[in-house]
Amino acid sequence: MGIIDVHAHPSLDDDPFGMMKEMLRVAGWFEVEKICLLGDVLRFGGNPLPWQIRAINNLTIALVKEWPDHLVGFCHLNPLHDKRFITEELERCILKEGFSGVKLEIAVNAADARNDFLMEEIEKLDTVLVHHAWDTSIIGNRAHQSDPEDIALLAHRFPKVRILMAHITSASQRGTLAIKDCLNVWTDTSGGQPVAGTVEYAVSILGAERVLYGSDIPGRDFSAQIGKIKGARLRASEKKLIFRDNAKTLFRLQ
Amino acid sequence: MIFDVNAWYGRWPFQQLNVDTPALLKKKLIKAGITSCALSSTDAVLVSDPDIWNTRLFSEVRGDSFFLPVPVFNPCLFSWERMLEEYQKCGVRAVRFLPGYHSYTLSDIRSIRAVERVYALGMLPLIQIRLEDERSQHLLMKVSPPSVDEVIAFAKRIEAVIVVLAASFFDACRIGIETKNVFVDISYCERMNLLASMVRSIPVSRILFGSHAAFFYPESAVLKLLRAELDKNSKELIGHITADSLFTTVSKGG
Repeated sequence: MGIIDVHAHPSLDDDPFGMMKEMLRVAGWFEVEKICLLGDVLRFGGNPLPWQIRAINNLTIALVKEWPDHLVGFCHLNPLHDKRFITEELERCILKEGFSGVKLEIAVNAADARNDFLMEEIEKLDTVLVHHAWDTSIIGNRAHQSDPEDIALLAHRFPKVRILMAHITSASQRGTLAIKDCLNVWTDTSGGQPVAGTVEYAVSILGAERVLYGSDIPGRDFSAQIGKIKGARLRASEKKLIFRDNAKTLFRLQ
Repeated sequence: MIFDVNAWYGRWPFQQLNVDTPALLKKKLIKAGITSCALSSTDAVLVSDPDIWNTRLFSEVRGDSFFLPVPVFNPCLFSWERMLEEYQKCGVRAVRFLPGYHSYTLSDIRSIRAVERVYALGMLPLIQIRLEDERSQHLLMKVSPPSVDEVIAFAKRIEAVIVVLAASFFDACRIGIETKNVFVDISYCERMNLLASMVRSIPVSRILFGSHAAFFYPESAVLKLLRAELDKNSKELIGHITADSLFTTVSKGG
């Protein structure tokens, strides 16, 4: 069974193609067949400028063109930017390049109304939003970071937009409960340490259909992150959903 | 064969560990591919007399060669020297220090004296850097780990003593360059192609297998080792040979 990793980042370092080649080589050892590239989203800090957004997306476009069978592109955006720029970048990445969704990081909190224009555009395009989330009671900075509760508020306001909330390990039980009733929210297992019980809990609350495997590589490794799913006390059919089938359905992958 | 230098069982107020007996942990570790472990009790960490739970640990694993019981040790206790002598009489081969949880630093003279005494008595000092990632600790239970610089300074003050560092992040690899008497486990280390990266900083002969089960899924650490881009001999060194030698040599007086 080929695994689909829904959470990975390329790097704008000196040799981005060399790094991606290495990532794909290592992915092969773990039967990871496809990798969703969310952009080098923190390369320029939490509030990137338009030219920086273009540079991030240019790299993703170039990498996906180089390895179209293995990489799935996502368009990184900053909701604070001019509406025209946002529209142009969406057209470039989603319509022209066929990217599978939009990635938002920490420019603004997910519950902030300044996301609205972008959310309306995402809804029109019928694409997926992948949104970073973490427990801000621990890391602070809620003006920019988003709690799972903020994702839930966003999901309630835009019930037609499919949202993948990243990092269920950080969301923990409280965050899992926060998104339970938002049927347009899925979550990924990426990032954080392989804390035992996290995946089983998410499945028990959300159902296996709403949990997707992700790694957050290259800061993380396939080994520790895949081990979370392999080690979880779940049925083989549930693991298959998490490793592969849910991503195919959510992102409408071939 | 895989010897796990960082295994725990018991109860923990911030995580449902699901393994409150050594027998349950053993079943889980064997299923993951681990053949023996250095085991400590989570219950012993937060009580003022760890021996209440250490004694129970000794009793529960007596006669089972799968387990090497490692008492949780607090050098701030008035009776610490007597406790160490008792451990030695019981045939204990390693003792676990938790500076963060017992409110002392590695620069504290008590740490130096106690570690030297442990070693002089023929036991191996294990320094537990953390039990939980600081980014997921409970609001009211913030425990700071010793910094890498603190560990390096500590190691240099006790150059004749071998210590094992458990649950350090990847940045602890520079300890390998700056010290000669510190061994590190892989439980908390993570980055793409982990072990191939680690051996560029720290000799393979000073890397040990640690899973941090039952806090973590042990499958994650097992995958780190088994899928590592290392030759068979290096994997065996990390998997068990170095640990076997350490735990035996020290108890025979170096």
